[in-house]
Amino acid sequence: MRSMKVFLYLLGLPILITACNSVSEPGSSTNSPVEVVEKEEKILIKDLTGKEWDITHAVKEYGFVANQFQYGLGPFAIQPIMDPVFAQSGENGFPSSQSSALIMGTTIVGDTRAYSIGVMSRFEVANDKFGTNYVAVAY
Amino acid sequence: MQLAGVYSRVIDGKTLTLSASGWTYRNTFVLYDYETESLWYHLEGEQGLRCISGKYQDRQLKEWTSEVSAWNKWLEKHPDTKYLISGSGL
Repeated sequence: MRSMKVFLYLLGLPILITACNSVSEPGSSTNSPVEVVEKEEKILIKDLTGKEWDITHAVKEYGFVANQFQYGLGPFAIQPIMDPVFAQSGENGFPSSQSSALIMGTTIVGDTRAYSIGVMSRFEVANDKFGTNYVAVAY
Repeated sequence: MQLAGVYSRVIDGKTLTLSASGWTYRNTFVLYDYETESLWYHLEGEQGLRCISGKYQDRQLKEWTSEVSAWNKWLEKHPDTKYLISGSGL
C-alpha cells in the first residue's frame, strides 16, 4: 500500500510542477497570455496571427514588461479610418444640436472638426489632414 | 490610461499611416505605423506619442490640443465645426 502511495506521489509531482509553472505571475495578463520569445538578444512578442513584434527597446529603455502586453489581435484586426469626409451644419449626417453624444474635437489652423466617440471606439485611429498638417486622431 | 489624442504623423518629412497594432499595454492601445512597423505609445506624463520600438525609436510625434465633449456643448463653443460622416472603412 505504501509503495502505491509513493508511486502515485511521484506520478503526480511532475503534473503539479507543470501546473504551477503555467500559472501567470502577478500583474500578467490573465485573459490573453502573451507569448514572449527571446532570441538573439531580442525580446519578441507573438500575436494571434503569428506575427512577432520586437519590443527589446521598449523593455530595455522604457521598462515595459513583456507579459503585460495584451490581446495581440494582429495588425489588421482594427483598421483605421482613411480619407475621412466631414459634413458641415445643414448637410446630411450633421447631428442635431440637441444630441449629447460624446465626440472628440480639435481645431488645427482654424479648422474645427469633431469625431464621434462611438465611431472612434471601433476604429481607434482616423488618419486625417488639416491643410498641410497630417494628423492621427486616436481614441 | 485611455488613449485619446490628436497627433502629428509626420516625421523627417515623411507622412506615416497610424493604426492600432492589436496590442494594448496597461489598458492603453499601442499604435504602429504601416510604413516602418514602429510601435508608438502615449507614455504617462508625456505629450505626444513616443516611438518605443522600431526605426523611429525614442522619437516623438507632437500632440495637438483636443478634447472629449458632449456634441451639443462642443457645437455651442464651435458653431463652425465639421462632423465626421464617412471615410474608407466607415
